[in-house]
Amino acid sequence: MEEKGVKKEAAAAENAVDLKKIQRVRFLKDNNSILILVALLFVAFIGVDGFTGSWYNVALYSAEYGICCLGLALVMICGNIDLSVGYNAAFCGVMFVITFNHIYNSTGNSALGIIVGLIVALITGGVLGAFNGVIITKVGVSPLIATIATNYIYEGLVMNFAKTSFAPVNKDAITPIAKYQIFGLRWLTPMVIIFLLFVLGTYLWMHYTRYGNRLHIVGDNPEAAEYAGISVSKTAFTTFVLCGIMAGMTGFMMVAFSGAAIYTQGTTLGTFPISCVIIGGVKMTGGKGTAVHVLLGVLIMRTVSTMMSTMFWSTNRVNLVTGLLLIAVLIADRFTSTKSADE
Amino acid sequence: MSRGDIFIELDDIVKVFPGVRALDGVSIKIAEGKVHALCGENGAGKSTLIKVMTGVHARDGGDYRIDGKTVNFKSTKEAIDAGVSCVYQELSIAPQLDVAKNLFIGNLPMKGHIIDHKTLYEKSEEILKFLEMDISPHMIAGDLSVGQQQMIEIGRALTRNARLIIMDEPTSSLSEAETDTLFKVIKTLVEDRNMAIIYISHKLDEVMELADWITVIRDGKNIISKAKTDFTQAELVKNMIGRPLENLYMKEPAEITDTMLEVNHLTRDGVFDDISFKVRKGEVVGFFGLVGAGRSEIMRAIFGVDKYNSGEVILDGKKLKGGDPAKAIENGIGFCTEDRKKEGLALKISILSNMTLVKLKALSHGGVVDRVAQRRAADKYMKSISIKAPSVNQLVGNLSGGNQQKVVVAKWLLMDPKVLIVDEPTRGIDVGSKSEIYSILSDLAKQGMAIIVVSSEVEEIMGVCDKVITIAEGKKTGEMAITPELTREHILSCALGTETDFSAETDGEKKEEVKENG
Ligand SMILES: Nc1ncnc2c1ncn2[C@@H]1O[C@H](COP(=O)(O)OP(=O)(O)OP(=O)(O)O)[C@@H](O)[C@H]1O
Ligand SMILES: [Mg+2]
Repeated sequence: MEEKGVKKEAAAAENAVDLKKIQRVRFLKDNNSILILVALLFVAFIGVDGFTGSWYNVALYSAEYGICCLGLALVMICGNIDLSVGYNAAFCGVMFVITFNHIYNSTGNSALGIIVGLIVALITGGVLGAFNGVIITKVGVSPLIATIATNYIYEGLVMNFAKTSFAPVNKDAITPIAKYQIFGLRWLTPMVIIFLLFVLGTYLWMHYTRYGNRLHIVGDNPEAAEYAGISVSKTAFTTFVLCGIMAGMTGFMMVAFSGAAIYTQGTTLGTFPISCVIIGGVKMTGGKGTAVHVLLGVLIMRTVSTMMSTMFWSTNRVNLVTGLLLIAVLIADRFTSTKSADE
Repeated sequence: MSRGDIFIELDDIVKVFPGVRALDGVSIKIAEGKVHALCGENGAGKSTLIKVMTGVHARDGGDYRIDGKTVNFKSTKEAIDAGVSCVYQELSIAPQLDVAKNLFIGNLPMKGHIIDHKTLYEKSEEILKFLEMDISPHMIAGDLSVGQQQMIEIGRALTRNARLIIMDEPTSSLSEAETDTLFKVIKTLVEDRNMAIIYISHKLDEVMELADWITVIRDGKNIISKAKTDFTQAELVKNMIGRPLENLYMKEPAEITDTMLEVNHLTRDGVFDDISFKVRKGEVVGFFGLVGAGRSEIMRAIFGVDKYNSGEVILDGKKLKGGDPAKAIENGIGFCTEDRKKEGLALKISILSNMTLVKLKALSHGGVVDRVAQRRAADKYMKSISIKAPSVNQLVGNLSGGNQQKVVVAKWLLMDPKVLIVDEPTRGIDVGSKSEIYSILSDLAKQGMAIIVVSSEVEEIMGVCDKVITIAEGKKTGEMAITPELTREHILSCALGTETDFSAETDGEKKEEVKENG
């Protein structure tokens, strides 16, 4: 009996040391995107001529596409995936333009056009997201297949509604607002602030509310969630709707950025959100990641593209580098995970 | 209400699954402040009964009353709210969340609409202290040992104001020290907090120690239900399996001949160190040590799922290249793993396919599987270790916990290897089938197979092995022949590392006398 007690203490002490070490490794591994971002910025500022003059683009472009990345992250934290974000956003952009033009043409009131247009865009995104959600959580189709299919559908919708590949707003009332430089700072525009508010809101929602907290549990161990009285399918459904709404917001941001709904943006957006989310540190398998990770991922991706456009690299080369970076991150992740705890 | 008052009653509960009448009129009464043990063979219906109680399954018949009122739980949430909490047989930890969030899963403390993190971590500290766990609530659950995770699940029930806590084989992955703590916790809950406990276990000495009242079910029917004091262990076994069990361990002497497996100076940095031993044809060698001593890791390295830094593994005179399980299987090593869900089974395919997975090559002609031979092979083991299922085509995921374990064991028995490594082969298996498995192991040894048994139960090691190797903190601390003179205590102290004894080491590399350091 006595022996057992002594042994237990010794084992506990050893365990404690071990766990501390594991935790440290884990922290580094979970947050390696900070290191990547810092390293990238370092390289960019030191090594790329002209980056000091162009870096504000990192902020602006991050804001443009960033919000749908947050939405996608919610879906992925729950253990699913949504490949239809691109054309969902593009279609919401179209809906915004149609609504805005309609109201502006009939009333001449551009503020009203923006507000109603935004609401329509968000609702449209939410409905398309809910459509994904129903097919996946109610019918039970695999999220990968389902959202590949709906992405085609949403692409079709864009074509049908826009009737042109470039649908401008009739009066360019939003871009001046969207691009207004607060305090004369080139990187601080209302768009950037909106994006940061979304990041903050998502972070707080997941950290402080009961519902937001469920996402990690559901993604991590759905069975455990179910046994604890948490409905896996309802939670997943919610994330698809939220992802859709955020795609809607992105649709609006894209129009605000360029003054038009552009058909090809659905494709440009394409797999960009997934890359951001993964590079930021959200796990494909679910259960892991926060809004801050998404922010980091978006900043990393945008730093890379800004760096390269500053150097006048072609899109092909940019894509090549982005792909390599993504693979490097995934390999680093594998490497550290086999090294740390032997999970 | 006071101790001994009955507050939960189940009458004539029926639950039917396709092809199986899992519960066929079971009745049970639960009293406050008492431990109620539920015993029965694998597949008797124990887990199903508690899943009916906790709202996972809807009952197909019978009455379920709490405080005299009939209840129909549609979800686990409703059962939890009514005071019925459960620690399930399958672990349900969220491995990437921290300990506190796992403890309060689905039930986070709130301040208005906002999660109260301060209370969350403070209360978690309290619960961990109560469970005598020396870990921080910020720790990530996946980093904990399986035993610690199990304790977290038990702690979970404490966060829910439960009146009844159901524990389905809670000790199957706990170390002895953790089991002691759990028993202390159970006693406190029952005596000081007047809680009721339903305790399910195949370890009958635990049942005899803890229970106030014992109910035995078989084939979904009540067999007997009475106070523990009126039971003897033999009587309990007889009621469970329907016949008296004379001898749990049936080790018949086998002829031990040439060396089959030789392991020399095997080392994996930080996990195990300089492990050497031999297993001969017909010999059963036991590996004993505390949970976490590195036994399973040594086996994993031999089999090739883990790498090792130095040393060699020689099978039948041929040196094996490490790190290649497919090659190891081909060369004739069978490895029945400890963690059946993660490593041993494909839950969504049939018993038949699972069982014949590693044997498939031998069962096919020119790439085409011989269905008849496959079926015959599977049927044989379905009977001999009595796997309870409507047919070999049943999905493994639908089997009871113990029967899943039996499928894993059968898979490797079927492979007919030269060296068979079984890691905790009887975890979660009822006494009757345990004795079947032991006698099969004994038969295999008689046919000349070399067998390694890893176990955390000294009795099991002493009952089935010819010799035992003890491992403490990754080092070999003993190699002894199992003789009538060998005591349980001596093996235990070698496993703790307070003594060493290499009296049975073959080839006399370093024959040492028993020496004491502790
Ligand atoms: N979801 C299911 N579908 C079909 N059959 C099932 C299902 N769940 C359980 N069964 C069957 O019901 C019977 C009772 O199983 P149960 O899990 O209750 O046994 P148990 O007493 O807990 O056994 P063990 O000791 O092995 O855990 C078994 O024959 C099992 O195969
Ligand atoms: Mg069971």
